[in-house]
Amino acid sequence: MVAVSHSINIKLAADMLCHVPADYSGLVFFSTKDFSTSCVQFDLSSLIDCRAADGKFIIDQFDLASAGDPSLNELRKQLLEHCFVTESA
Amino acid sequence: MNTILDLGIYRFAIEHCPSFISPSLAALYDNSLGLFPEKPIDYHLTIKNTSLIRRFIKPQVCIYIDNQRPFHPVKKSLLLPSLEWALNWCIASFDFNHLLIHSSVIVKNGKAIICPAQPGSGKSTLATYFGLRGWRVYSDEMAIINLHSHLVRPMHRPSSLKNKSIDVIKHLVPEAVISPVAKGTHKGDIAHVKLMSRLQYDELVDAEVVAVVFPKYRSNQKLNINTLSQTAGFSRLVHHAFNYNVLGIEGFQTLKSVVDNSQFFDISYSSYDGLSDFLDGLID
Repeated sequence: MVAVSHSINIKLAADMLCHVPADYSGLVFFSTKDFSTSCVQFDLSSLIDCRAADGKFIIDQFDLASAGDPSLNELRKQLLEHCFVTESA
Repeated sequence: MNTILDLGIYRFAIEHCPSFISPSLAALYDNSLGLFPEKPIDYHLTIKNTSLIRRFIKPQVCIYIDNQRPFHPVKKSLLLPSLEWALNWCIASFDFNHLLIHSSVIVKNGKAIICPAQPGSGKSTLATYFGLRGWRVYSDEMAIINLHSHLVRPMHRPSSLKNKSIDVIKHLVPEAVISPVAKGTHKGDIAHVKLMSRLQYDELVDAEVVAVVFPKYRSNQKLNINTLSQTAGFSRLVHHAFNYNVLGIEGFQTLKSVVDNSQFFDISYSSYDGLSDFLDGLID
């Protein structure tokens, strides 16, 4: 696995909720501002550890995992470009 | 004649209901007609003639909902399907207490399969066939999902068949109770099928959704089943929902729960051979 470095952490954009379905087939983003929903299909089966006990997806751990995986890092970039997540200050 | 239609979840008052559709309503709704006259009404419908002349020459009627007229006048012979569409319109336009998905719902052993589809895909025919073959049809038109329990709720209504589907069901289930065919609606010929008695409806309870099947009838097509991911399924369900974008977080949370508990499939078929085993397998 190729390591990809990035030093900036990401967080969910303001007013955005994120859900990873039980089969880890992607991410579903829901905007609490305009109630829009966006579904991003992506095999996230390697990220089972990124789910907290209450079922919520932990974006910090996704960020950490994407540092070591080019395809996850590409997904991370796409999520930033589409403003589903933002860079932490 | 004024009457009440009690669908279980919703109650409709129908003012000036013409006597010529009473036999059809009585056959399709049996004891749900005029039930609980003292209980509150959700929607008030009034049926009126359009004009004095139109009473005698090519008679037309209009359906008013709370004194508004959202639909064009229709020929008297098309009143029953128009009334059924008006019921759908009221529910889809004004119920913000449930998540509503354009879908048929079939239930067995307390487990629900919802079948969202565009008009003409065969979802009502599929629901009708299985509703007359041991399953319970909670609706042939919309899945009504409780925002708190995330369970799908039953409605006491007939199913609606179009064009060739009418003969298909008559052929496959000769004992089915089917209304007279209304010919020449904007969707073609329409008939309604009684799926259960009020007594049977009263025994139904809210059911957990375990699978979502997107049906597509294609002539001369062998049964073809494709599994979909839950993320793809989520996206498709959003497109089929009537009021998801109005419900906000409650709608999202409800859909999340339904999706996480469900398997998703695209199916195409031309006969019900094999489909029965497939559907039975989903609720085991």
